Amino acid sequence: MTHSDFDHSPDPVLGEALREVLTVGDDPAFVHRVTARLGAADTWWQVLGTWARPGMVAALLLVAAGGFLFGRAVMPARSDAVADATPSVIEVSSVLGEDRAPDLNLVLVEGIGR
Amino acid sequence: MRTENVTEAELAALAHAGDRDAFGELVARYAAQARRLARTILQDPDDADDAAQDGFLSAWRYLGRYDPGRPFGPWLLRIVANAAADRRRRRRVRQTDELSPAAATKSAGPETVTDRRALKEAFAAALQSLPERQRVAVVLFDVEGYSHGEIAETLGVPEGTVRSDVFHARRALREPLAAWKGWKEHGS
Repeated sequence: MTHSDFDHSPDPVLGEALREVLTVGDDPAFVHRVTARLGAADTWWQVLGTWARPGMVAALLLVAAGGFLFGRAVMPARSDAVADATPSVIEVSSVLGEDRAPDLNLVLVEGIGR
Repeated sequence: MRTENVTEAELAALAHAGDRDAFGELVARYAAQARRLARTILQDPDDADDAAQDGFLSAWRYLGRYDPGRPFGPWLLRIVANAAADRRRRRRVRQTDELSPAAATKSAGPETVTDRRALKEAFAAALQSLPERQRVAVVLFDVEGYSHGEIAETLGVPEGTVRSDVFHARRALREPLAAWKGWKEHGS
């Protein structure tokens, strides 16, 4: 054996002998066996991950549709409330729009009344 | 997609994105190494193939943890080595599989063994009589051509330990190798 045990480069003779002892052959069959099992090796979060994008789109559509329907149901009531409040605003505006200072009693009545 | 000229980091990235063909190419590139490494740890070839397969499937699951700035081989082989060690722990390798150095020498001595097959078996027995880390170190260094640093990364030990393991393994294998090699040179 010309290669020293101290050598810091691979020993080709020993390498060949070890390869012969350890190699079992038929790598293509092994590769096929492994790749055939990749689907079974998918974890639950990988499976979940494949559904993430369509799931997000569906959720956004649901939220948008729900928001639209909720908005339609609530809008008439809100309009009524605004309509009820409008005369008071007009009254206050008319008070503030006077040339002279507003009557203090009128302002207090307006404030307390709200 | 043709994957022959694609780098391993690119293949790993494609595989991580779900490309099974890319991962298949990685399996094809490393199948022989992974199987030899598993067989170095587990003597039974079927067990070794099961362990190598476990290693590849674990690598497929955890590709996100692979650093593309580093070589793929040591990362993969570390997973395969762990899978083989796990399998060995689970199955409790039979005592008869482990030969003491004395037994290996006795059954493998050149004075009692004359045919090529027996010399090969004696060499294999001498390999199996080594501590597991020495076996793995010498196989990764002298067969697969990995550097001491890469083997250290694979085994999770200091580089100096790998150098020492390779040295001791070579020294232990020298005699049975010489017997086998001598027979091959003169007898074949």
